[in-house]
Amino acid sequence: MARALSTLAALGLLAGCGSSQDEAGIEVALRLRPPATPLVEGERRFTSDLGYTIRLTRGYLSIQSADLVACAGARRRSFSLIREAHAHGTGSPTRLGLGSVERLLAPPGEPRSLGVFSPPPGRYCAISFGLRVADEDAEGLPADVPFVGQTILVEGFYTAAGSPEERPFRGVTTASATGKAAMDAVDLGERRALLLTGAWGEAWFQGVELASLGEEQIGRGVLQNIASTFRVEAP
Amino acid sequence: MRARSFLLATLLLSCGAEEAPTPPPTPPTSDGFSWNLPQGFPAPRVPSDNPMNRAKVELGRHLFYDKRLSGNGTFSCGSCHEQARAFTDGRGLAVGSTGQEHPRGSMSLANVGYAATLTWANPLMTTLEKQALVPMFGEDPVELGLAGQEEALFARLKAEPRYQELFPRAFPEKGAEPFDLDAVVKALGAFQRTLISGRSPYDRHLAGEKGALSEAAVRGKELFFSERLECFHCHGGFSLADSVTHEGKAIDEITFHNTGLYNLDGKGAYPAPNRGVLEVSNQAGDMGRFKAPTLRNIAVTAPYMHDGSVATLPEAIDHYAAGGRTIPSGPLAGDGSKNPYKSEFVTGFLLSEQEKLDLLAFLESLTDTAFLTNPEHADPWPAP
Repeated sequence: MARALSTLAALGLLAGCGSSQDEAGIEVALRLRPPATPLVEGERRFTSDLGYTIRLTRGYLSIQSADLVACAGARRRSFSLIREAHAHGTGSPTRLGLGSVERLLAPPGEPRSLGVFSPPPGRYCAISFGLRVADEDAEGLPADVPFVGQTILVEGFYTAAGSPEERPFRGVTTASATGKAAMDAVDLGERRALLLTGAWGEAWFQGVELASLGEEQIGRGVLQNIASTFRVEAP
Repeated sequence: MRARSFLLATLLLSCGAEEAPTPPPTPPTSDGFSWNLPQGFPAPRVPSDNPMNRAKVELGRHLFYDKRLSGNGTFSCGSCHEQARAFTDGRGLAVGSTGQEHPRGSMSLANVGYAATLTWANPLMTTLEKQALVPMFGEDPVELGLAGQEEALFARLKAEPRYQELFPRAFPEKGAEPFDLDAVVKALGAFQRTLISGRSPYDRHLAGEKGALSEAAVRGKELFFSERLECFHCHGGFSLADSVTHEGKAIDEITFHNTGLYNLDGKGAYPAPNRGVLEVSNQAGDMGRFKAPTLRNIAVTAPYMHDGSVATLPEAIDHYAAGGRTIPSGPLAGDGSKNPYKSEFVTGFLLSEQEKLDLLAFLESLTDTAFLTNPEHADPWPAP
């Protein structure tokens, strides 16, 4: 009898580690909204704070992952013998391994589904998008330009303020960045399902000196701008 | 019944824990040696023909700091491996006993007993006993300069009263003639295996000590272990290194990395004679591939990289953030970020100034002052 009780206790404790009944079935769907500005003749057009008039004629961005970020100080209700490190492309209850290439010239429209988290109960405060180089098996790889091994590519033309001359530009980088979008804290101990929509701002060329920077620096500048303007629309 | 209670206790402890429990202490040897392992550290792998014992470790410590181990009596192992600098020397390139400059810098010996390969770029150098022969007898470059002086060396050692006691105690199996090269390298290996660093503020943080890390260092830790920065892929695990081995490990993964420091010809060339594993393998793909050393105590081991060509930690971070180093002019000019042999993990990343400070705070939290001042690792000889 004593043996049976202790075995039962052990099983109960095992079940209590990160898989209690109240956390079963929680789903957080994530989708991404294309930029809202309409295209003009298939191009996206901007005027930057530096006075450049810009026509973006080609643009791609690699999003490798999305993480559901717990609020600071939130009590963890799961455990793992695997520490913070994650292998490339793998998912977890709070991570989507995406491997997705986004078209920066996608027309405005309905948000596209990225995937579904299955997180443990807890309070969550942000979505973090991992912007890293595209793998060979990334979804949405462009056919019109080599993009494997790149994080972002932008091409087009710009006209400096007061200049009649239009010049081409190109920005490309392998650098990684994180687009972190804060949101009102959501308690997933109380909600079973949630739909989150990510988006980014459109001030992509703010502060990017197109006339003097090289491809790498232009790529980094645009990547920085996109990464810093990710947001989550109110659920 | 006791086993069942232990199971329950283990399960209770497991809930919410992030770290593996402290390993049980290894039983001491017959002369009282036992590993004093930090939490989460496995036992180092020890060659079957060189089992640990206290006397051997003590002999190894004496030899490590003994300048009689150099041909001209001016250098010891400790000359290039200073304890206060985590057993490095503060130089970009090491200098041997005759003043000859080494092409590469002195590597830290912190946790060297866990290294699956030794030196910067030699996949064939796998034991401390074999490696010790290189600085002792190497002639290009000369380090300790003992080539051809074996008999004189042993005459000097035999004349030292401490060694008359230490050698027989360390190697009782050698009987009346314990003074030989085999004993010297085995004692040096045994001592170096005790150079274990794992009690830094970062380790105390992992163990659950509140306030062990500053808030900046905690943020820096998150960055370090992120896919954005990729640091942990090559500087991971308990030793914050790769190519690690230890007792019970089934397979040793040996890896070397080209970090885009150079690109002399646009085809990936590194400057000779520092071309990495290629110097050993003669394989083009090994150009510029070097070992990722431990980052433990990294704040006290400047300058950085195999040739000391990066002076400070902020510069090292800038190098990786840029995804490689661009040298605009001079004989080493080239865009390392476009080195075709560069590691897939050195793609560059965007980092704000605050994030850079946070990352620095984390790297500084890896300094293990107990290790740097441990009297058991210190020079046992009286100051001259």
